[in-house]
Amino acid sequence: MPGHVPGIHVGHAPTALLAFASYAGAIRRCIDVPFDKAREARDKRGHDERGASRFDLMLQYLEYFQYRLKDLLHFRPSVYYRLFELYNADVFPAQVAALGAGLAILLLLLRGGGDARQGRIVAAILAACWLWIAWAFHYQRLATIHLGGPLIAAGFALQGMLLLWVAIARGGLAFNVSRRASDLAGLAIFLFAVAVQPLIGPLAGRPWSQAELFGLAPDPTAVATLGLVLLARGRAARLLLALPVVWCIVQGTTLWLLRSPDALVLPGAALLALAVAFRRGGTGTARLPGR
Amino acid sequence: MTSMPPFGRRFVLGSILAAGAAALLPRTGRAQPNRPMTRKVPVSGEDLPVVGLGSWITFNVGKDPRGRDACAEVMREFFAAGGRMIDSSPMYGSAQEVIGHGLKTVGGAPALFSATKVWTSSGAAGPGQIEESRRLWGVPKFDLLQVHNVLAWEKHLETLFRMKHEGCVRHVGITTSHGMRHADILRIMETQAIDFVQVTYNVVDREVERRILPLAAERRIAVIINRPFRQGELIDEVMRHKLPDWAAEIDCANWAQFLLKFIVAHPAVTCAIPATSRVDHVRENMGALHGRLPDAAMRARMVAYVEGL
Repeated sequence: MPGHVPGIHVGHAPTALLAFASYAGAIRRCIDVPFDKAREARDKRGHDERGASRFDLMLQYLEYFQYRLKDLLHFRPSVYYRLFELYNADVFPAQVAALGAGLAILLLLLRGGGDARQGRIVAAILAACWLWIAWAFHYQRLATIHLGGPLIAAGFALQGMLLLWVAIARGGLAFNVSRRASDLAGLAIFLFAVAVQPLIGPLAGRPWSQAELFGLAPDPTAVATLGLVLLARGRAARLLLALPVVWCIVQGTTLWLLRSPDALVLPGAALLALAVAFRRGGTGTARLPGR
Repeated sequence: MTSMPPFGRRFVLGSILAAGAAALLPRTGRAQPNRPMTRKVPVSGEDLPVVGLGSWITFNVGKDPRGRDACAEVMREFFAAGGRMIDSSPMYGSAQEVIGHGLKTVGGAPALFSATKVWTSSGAAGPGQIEESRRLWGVPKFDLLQVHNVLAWEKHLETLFRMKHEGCVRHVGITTSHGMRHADILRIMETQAIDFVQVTYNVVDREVERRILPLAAERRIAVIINRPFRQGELIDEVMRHKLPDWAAEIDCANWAQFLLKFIVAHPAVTCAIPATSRVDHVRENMGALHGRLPDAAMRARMVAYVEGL
């Protein structure tokens, strides 16, 4: 039988705190013995003292280290994936438009030339996808089972606004796809998100009706964005890496807690994107078009 | 497996005392083939079946009509088996709304003992949250309102006591789980006129036996037990093993009844609230309302057996 590791109820805690709680849990396990002794000492001292001493407050905070990630989840895996089934049914035939958007971005990338209009269109398509997901999926649907849904929706909306800013004020994303390793990695990540990632759920045994598509579902959209940002030139483009990377880590943790077989896909994509971005270093610092 | 008080002299002595006290309680620990086993709420004398229904995670199905109907069936089975207490919280996502849907679907439940919580750090926001919960449930008033996880308890208890005085709620309580904030819980039990306390207790998490359960008995506070199966982990673990033959001596047909009967056999416990989304699991759980309860020696044997797995 496993050792006892108490859990948590947190409620409004931002989903980003999930990762922190994980580390907190690990730390707590390391300090398990002194923690228990301190609690016993407090218990022996009695409970009739009004007001919390510093010692009590410290213990109170330490008690929150007992929380476990698993206990932060408010829903069952079947309920989470059923959201996609209902969502896909509700938005049909938007799937056709989403696939078209992915194909359009691919054609624009392969056409080359690096002109400003091309970059504006790609940034605008991505912005529309992030804003749509923020509203239609996270706010309208995920929030019905996840108390952090509105916060996540706000994060996706922020990324959408950033992309819009890049599309309108910064002249769009500047692409000049070459055979460089970083470009090939970016292209591979994008293609994976559009063509392979939606198949993972069905291959893992979930119904086709729950498939997660680029442009409609958060995970493939975030991964596709990572690929496109790797392909783009300019420092401003790198700003667009932050939120997709955060999402990949947070959502990867959630999927791991849901025991999804594809839990490692998102963190893996994020790590690859970060590694490529750092390795590329100053080579991708050309100015954005229009500036 | 245990992190709580070790099985030893203290446990055996406590169990013997508990069994003695249990013998003094009405309709407890005795075979009642057709009537569900109940405990009295000390402050009101109301009989409550010793198994209730939790809603953490299991009832958070959002707007999914299929999920909502499945929860309604769980509730229908629960009431049909003699259940009364359903417990929820604003923290449980859509659970309260789903309970409201279930109550409408089953055509009302006269036996319902509605228990929910107030969960906000703002004392001023408490009444509004309670009213929203009442609207979601679709009940005229709650039988029990609890301060969730000791959050802003001073402010909320003030509100809840006022509501009780005005007849807007029947009982007032406070909750914790996972063994958290026990010092605060004890302080509140000692100083506030609460009717219920809700804590975590099961065959492996037994810290409440040390002070909270004895204090509840002394102060005549009803006790609700959450996480009887450790959110499913405990029952998943024990189900890898064969139910011991001697479980039949306390009329346990499955592990769920084994784990629940261990809990409700404690004389200070009023009811346990396992959560489930499956009708077959409700049937198993509600089976613990019938038959014999373990005595002190049997409870010690149950602890030793589970810890030895």
